[in-house]
Amino acid sequence: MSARVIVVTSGKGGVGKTTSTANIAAALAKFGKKVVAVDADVGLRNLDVIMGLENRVVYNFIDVIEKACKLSAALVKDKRVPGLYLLPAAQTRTKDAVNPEQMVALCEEMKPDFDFILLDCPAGIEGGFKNAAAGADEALVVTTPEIPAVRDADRIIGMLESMGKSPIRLIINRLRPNMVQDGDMLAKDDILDVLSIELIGVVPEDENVIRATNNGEPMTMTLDSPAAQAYLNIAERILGRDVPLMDLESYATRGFLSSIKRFFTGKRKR
Amino acid sequence: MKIPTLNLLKKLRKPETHMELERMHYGIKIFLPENLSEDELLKLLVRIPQSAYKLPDEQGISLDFSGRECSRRLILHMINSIVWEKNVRVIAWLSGNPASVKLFKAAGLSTAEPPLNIESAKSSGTHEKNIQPEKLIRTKAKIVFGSMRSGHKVETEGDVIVWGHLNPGAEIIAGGSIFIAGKLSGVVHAGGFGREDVFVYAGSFETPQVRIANKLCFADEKSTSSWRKSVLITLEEGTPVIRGNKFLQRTIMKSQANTGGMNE
Repeated sequence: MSARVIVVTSGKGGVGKTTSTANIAAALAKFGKKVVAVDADVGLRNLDVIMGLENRVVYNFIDVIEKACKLSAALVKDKRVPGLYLLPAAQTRTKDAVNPEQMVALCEEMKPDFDFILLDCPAGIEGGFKNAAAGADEALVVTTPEIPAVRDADRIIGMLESMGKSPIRLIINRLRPNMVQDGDMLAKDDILDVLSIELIGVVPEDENVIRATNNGEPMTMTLDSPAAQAYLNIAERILGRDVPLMDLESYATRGFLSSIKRFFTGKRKR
Repeated sequence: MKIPTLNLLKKLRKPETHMELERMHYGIKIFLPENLSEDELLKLLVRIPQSAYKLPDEQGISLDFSGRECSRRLILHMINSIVWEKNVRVIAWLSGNPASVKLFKAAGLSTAEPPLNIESAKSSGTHEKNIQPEKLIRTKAKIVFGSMRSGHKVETEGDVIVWGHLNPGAEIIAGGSIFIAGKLSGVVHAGGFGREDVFVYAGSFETPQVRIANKLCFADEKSTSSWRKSVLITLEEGTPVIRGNKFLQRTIMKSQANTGGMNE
């Protein structure tokens, strides 16, 4: 086994990197893969909270790098989904506590034991980003349909390209189809026109994301919602399956509530 | 193109002192005869009156020594008696003799002709069809193949061609002109070192700000009719002028009508 190492990044903060990491990791684990989600945001750790594993964190990956503990001791196993692990970040350290070489060595150490290593990258283009990206082969760039987020994503894509990461694929998060239809939000094609990279999924705006985040349970584990379905689809596309994009326009015309209702009544759309 | 530009110089022509002149984009090129001794050559040049060396502003003379092996003495005397004495602007010292070239370089003299500037060539009467390809190559142009992403910056003394889009957050500062084949959404500064005879071309004009020489102009979708259209921006009498590319627009529309639109 040699894991695919994927960095989840964006440039801009608050676009949903950590949520995407948690949900995609859980979805990949649901599909039977052995996955570790690494919180590379040293000093501002959140992934453990979103995954609902906060109370079980003892060691972190800085401890592993500094050889204060073994890797196996720092890994937190998610008991809800077989094959899902978390490697938490240190909250009391800064991003200077790790360098790119150490990150590469850590990923190499984990590669034989996993199918996927997802690195949750901090916002920004400085050391934290460079550390996280150094260990990865592939990248998922998360953006929201807002001009500042798209511009920052463009910057990050340029940096990832110069670092030789491939493939670099795009997740458009928090899209509101009704706003796109009204011309108040950037459309998928507008974003792709600027960023010129492969789209791996569009996640619609969904209040269930907030609920799931606060409950510490990735949506893809249990909750049936448009965003959960979108993340499941993204995970399938990462696995190389041909999954068509969700028909988000139907959500716009019928409204989100009716769409969610349709999900709960079993009329799921992909 | 060899033309009799300086009448006074022409009068000095004798079979044994044959000296040819050539009109160049930067002024006059003088081919110095090889069959004269260094002293005879100096005498010949000194005899030419100061008024004959006078050229319009910013134009100069290049001296072509052909295969002559120049001595230090000759160079020294030429600088003393011609350059300083007659206030001649010699902008290039040319030679086919490597020893002479080495000597010119050691003295800090320019051994290459200035690159061709098409605009100045036109104004000085040189017709565009007479521009030699090798001279065109000498103009500095940086070509970027592909789009420039946010944070990507190009700064150069010459022209810049982007064979892609200039995305928001990307920046070009060029001493010359800037050509963006795709969308212009980033920041461009043509004539960044003061030149005003430059242009900005955009396949699709979508930037809120364009800089040409020391002028800054702002644009947006509401105020600019050429927004999201192909444009040429120049500086005319100190004012930026945006011209839409109507003929290309018509061609695109015609092509779209024939193919049923751009989307597959």
